[in-house]
Amino acid sequence: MLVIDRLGKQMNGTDLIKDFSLKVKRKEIVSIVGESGSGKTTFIRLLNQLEKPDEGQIKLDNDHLFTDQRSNKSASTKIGMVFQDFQLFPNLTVKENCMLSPLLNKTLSKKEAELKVNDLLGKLDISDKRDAYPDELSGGQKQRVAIARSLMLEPQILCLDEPTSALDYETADRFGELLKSIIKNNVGIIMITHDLRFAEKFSDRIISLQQFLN
Amino acid sequence: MKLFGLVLALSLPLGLIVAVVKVYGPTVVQWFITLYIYVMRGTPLLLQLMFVFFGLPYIGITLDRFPAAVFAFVLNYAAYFAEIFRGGMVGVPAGQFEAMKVLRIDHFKGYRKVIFPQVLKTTLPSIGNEVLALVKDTSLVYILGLGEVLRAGQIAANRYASLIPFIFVGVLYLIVTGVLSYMLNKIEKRYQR
Repeated sequence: MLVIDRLGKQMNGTDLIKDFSLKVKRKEIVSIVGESGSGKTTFIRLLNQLEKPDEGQIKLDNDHLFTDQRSNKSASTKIGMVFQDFQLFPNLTVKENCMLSPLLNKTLSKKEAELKVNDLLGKLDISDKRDAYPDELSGGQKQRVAIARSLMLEPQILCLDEPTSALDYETADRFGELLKSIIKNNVGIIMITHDLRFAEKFSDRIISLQQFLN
Repeated sequence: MKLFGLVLALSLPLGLIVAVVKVYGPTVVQWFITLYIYVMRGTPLLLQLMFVFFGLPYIGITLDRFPAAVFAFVLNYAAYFAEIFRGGMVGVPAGQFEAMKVLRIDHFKGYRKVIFPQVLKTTLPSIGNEVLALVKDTSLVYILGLGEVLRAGQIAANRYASLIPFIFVGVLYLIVTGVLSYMLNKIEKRYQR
């Protein structure tokens, strides 16, 4: 379980996030909503150690990801992130994008990585694109590749930044079903969105960031 | 030809190192590099050649003709290459570095596998321009009294009171730059992604 306790982040001298507490279990989809500039994106950037909190704690099971302004890099592998613009590596194929981290970090052998990537791409319904380059993919396909790339590292919590911003209703709904199937593999999902329709339909809980700021 | 190959082989890696230091290095070193690039790009290569070969001996540094030419050319071209590489590096979106970080890809390995190929892709056309310019610039070494094709052409033109040697020299340059352009195109195609 991911436990966020009284998290605080200041930006330019004012509180962007203050006293924010949240628990996210595996197999749960939590949506974070809020207006632009409410600190939604900053929040998941904090979870992924792309920025440092000013106060509070972040714990994952018994590992402290962040306490007293110190972060723990090794525990952070358990949180994955899919960027709003995916940030696939343009010079690598779909398969290479997915396998790069496990192979460079030697967490999987080449054979294991191949098996895993084939399995994931199959589940995400993009097996036929395994040798394609990112610029040959549609927005929805890129998104699924980015998810596969994150899942290769077996995160316990997967963060999604505005996942439906580039999807039409129908595709978004199919994407929602996909998220439901992903969490069955013992993964928790935190997604940031201002698509309330989508959030209400597919998440177990909706949290508004504003209510924590006074 | 020997000068061209040597200068290219030395100035490309040196330019890359200078670019990396200019982007990531300490501020003081960045200033120094900015000054170096300013001087190299802001003064004529011909002056730099003369400075190294005819000027430095006055303060006790004497280089032979060929090493002097290589030295001046490498310093000059590394500055241009550094600016090209720097532009390519700055052009890689910050999100790519963040993606590397989130995927726990080591900075150095990630640079080699992900960032550098993107830098190469965007910079290859400009590098190609400089490579062709270098071919033609090598003719400047005649000022140091080094034998090269343009000098030979001029001597022949004088001896035979003829235009033909100059045309011949021009054709020689076209052949060399033509072959190089073809090779550069091939390399660019390979790094299209």
